[in-house]
Amino acid sequence: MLLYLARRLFQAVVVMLVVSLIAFVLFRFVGDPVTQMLGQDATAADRARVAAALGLDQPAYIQYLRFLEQAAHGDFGRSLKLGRPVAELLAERVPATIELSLFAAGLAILVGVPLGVRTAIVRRGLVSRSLLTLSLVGISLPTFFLGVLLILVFSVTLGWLPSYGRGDTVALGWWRTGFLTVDGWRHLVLPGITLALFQLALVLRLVRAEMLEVMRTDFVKFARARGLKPAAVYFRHALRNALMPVVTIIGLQLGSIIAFALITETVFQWPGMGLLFAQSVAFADVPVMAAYLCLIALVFVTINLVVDLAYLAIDPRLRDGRLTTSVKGT
Amino acid sequence: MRKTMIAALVGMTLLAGPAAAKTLIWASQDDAATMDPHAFNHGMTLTVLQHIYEGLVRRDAEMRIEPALALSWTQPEPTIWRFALRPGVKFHDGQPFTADDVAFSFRRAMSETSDMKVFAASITAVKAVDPLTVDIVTAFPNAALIQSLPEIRIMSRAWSEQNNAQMPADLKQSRENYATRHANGTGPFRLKSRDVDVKTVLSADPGWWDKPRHNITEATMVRIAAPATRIAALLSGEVDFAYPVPVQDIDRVEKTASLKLLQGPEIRTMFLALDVARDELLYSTVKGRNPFKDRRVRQAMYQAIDMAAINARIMRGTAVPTGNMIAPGVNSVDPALQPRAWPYDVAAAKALMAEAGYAEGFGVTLDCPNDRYVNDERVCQALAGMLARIDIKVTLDAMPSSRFFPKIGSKDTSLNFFGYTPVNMDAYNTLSVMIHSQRGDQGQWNVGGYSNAEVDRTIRASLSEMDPTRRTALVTKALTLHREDIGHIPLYQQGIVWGMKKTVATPLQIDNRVNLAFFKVD
Repeated sequence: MLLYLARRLFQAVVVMLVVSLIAFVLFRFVGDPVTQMLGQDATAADRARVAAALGLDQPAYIQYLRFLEQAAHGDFGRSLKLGRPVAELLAERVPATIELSLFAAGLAILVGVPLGVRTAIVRRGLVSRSLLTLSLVGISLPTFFLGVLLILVFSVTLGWLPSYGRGDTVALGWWRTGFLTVDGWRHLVLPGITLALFQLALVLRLVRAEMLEVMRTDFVKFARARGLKPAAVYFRHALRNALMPVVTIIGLQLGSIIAFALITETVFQWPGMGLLFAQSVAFADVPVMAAYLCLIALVFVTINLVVDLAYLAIDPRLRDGRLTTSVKGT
Repeated sequence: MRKTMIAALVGMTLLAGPAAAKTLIWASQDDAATMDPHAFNHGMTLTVLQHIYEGLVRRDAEMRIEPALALSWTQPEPTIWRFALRPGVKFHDGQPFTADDVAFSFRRAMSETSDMKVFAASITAVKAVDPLTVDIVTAFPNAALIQSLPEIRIMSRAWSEQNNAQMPADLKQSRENYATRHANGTGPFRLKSRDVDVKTVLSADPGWWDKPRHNITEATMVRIAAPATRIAALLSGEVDFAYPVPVQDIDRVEKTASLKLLQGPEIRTMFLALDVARDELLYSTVKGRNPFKDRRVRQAMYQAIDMAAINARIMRGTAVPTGNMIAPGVNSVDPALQPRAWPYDVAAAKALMAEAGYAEGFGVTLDCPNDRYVNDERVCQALAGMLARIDIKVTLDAMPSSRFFPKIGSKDTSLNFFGYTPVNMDAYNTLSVMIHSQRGDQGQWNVGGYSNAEVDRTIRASLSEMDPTRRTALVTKALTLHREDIGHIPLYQQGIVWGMKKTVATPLQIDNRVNLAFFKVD
């Protein structure tokens, strides 16, 4: 069991190192921040002074090692545009992204699961078929297009909902929440739907597929034979068993919701981490970009690690160390 | 009794109606990077700060210099300017404004960590003569000094010292200090609150020394970077004012009954810069010689470009074609230089190419930013198509400005599409930065290496020529020589498009800086 744990942790560290290296290398090619910072009127001497002050005149591997050392201490340097610590900037933006992601995930589950069940039970109805077609649209529609479409309909044409920003927020310590104001909720609707639609479609299709599978099994047939009410059969027996893989996938998808919030945030000017990243790219604000990428990688790695540990808790064979590579085929 | 009181209160509220609070929400593409007036020479930062901080002089709605914190000025000697300061002015925190603050602010703006040094480059000393008199000493007679002074903004010495912000926070070393997120100026607006990159709230200062031309009580600046979202917010009425309006959305805004547009040429001039210095181009199919060194090739390219078509199809009429490197409206520039020097004529261009020995044409790479100017990449595509008609096969290399500027700044280019705004609204700035030979601090962005000794001499002479007429003549001479040489190929002045509700009135500013002091809101 310890070996399993150690191996998983080691893999996580390797992934993080690789991501940080890629981030570091990639950003050497996005452009020269010195010109952005100094503008058009600076002299060559000014440029050299600034490059030296930022350590940009050092060899690449020294810059990378220094970056790693500081990152390990949670110090990603300071934003080149705003002059503030990157960690502080990201901390300010985290609540917006987390709240948007949670709302989207909640929406995807609360709407996706019942609709998935519905389409599994009534397989041939018009409603089910339309829902399946719509879910296909949801999976294939690009996020930015959906966002602009929603803005056009609900903000510009109907004038029901705001098109940008987060609205009024309330500070709970350092965490600024939009969940406690009506205005905050109004601002959450369009970006929330935009971010949720893909996940909603995914959950719907997954729940449907799993339900159909479970309903064919013997124990559902026996449950029916026992004369249980259909509702009890569907929800207490079939759905419960269908949900196991769904929960796993949703857990894993949480990482991609946070990562893909970037596009939604850009379209809706939602002041989260993704927007910060997108705006940093235009300025070649390398410290912010690197920190964001590492943070997103950390989210993915952590979620995967938690899932692995959950399997460890569920599957006794892993604890005995008999099976360390695959948990499939149980 | 209670009813009467309520009725009275309601009545009072109604009476207060006409003078009630006028608020404005304006959406912009970018946000200010700092509230420190000396830390960052950056368009949006200076746009926001001009509401809070003032200089000794300021620009009126037509961009003319007028007195601000200085009442008047004289020039006792060619290198000494004496300013009489406005009495009775107070900073937003209530401290009185004095000559000491002026001397302190100039020292601050000229310090090592300041990004506004360029505007004070000729100044050697600023001395407080008495509480309401200041002397500015320059190293040489500088005819453009006054033009630079609106950008040197005055801070309170006491406030800066109390808050340990005597020096600008060096953004280049990624520092910040108290003045980065707090402000205390003498301007028409106070900084009420600031949420970086989200919103900045300005409130009108009731104690401002001047009679306000605006009627705004509170203005909120929100950043909406995505153009589609910014325009959607304007169309839906969530914001009162939005800029810039992308040219493809002009029709949409114009057709909306509650909205209107303001359009006009910006002082930014767009042009093609060609490598006229190297013996062989870095990015070309021609080996052993440089076709751009042949003036006939440059003229052929000039005549192959159909500016009217670019303006009509890509800029939707918002640009102004030009034959001059500096826009009219800039100090010492003669508007008569505006017309293009040679007409669009493909046959003539082809003849010139043949005469120069390039009847078969050649290939060359055009460097172009894709996120900096209005429709920059599309203009470059059109230019490539037009040059193809005279058999110059252009390979387009479009890139983000964070890559573009370092690339062309290090002269790693053969042909590029570029634009420049004289930062202090004075002709000498463009002449020195763009046209003077690269030497010392001169010719910093003369990336093609254009060099003409007579032009250089004329440019330097214009710097210290105090007589406006003679100075304009010198500037005209330099620009005309450069035009005859075709040192660059000027194209057009980029257009400014501002969108707003019909209830908002403002003059268009050719430096593209929104100035709420000129706003009226119904």
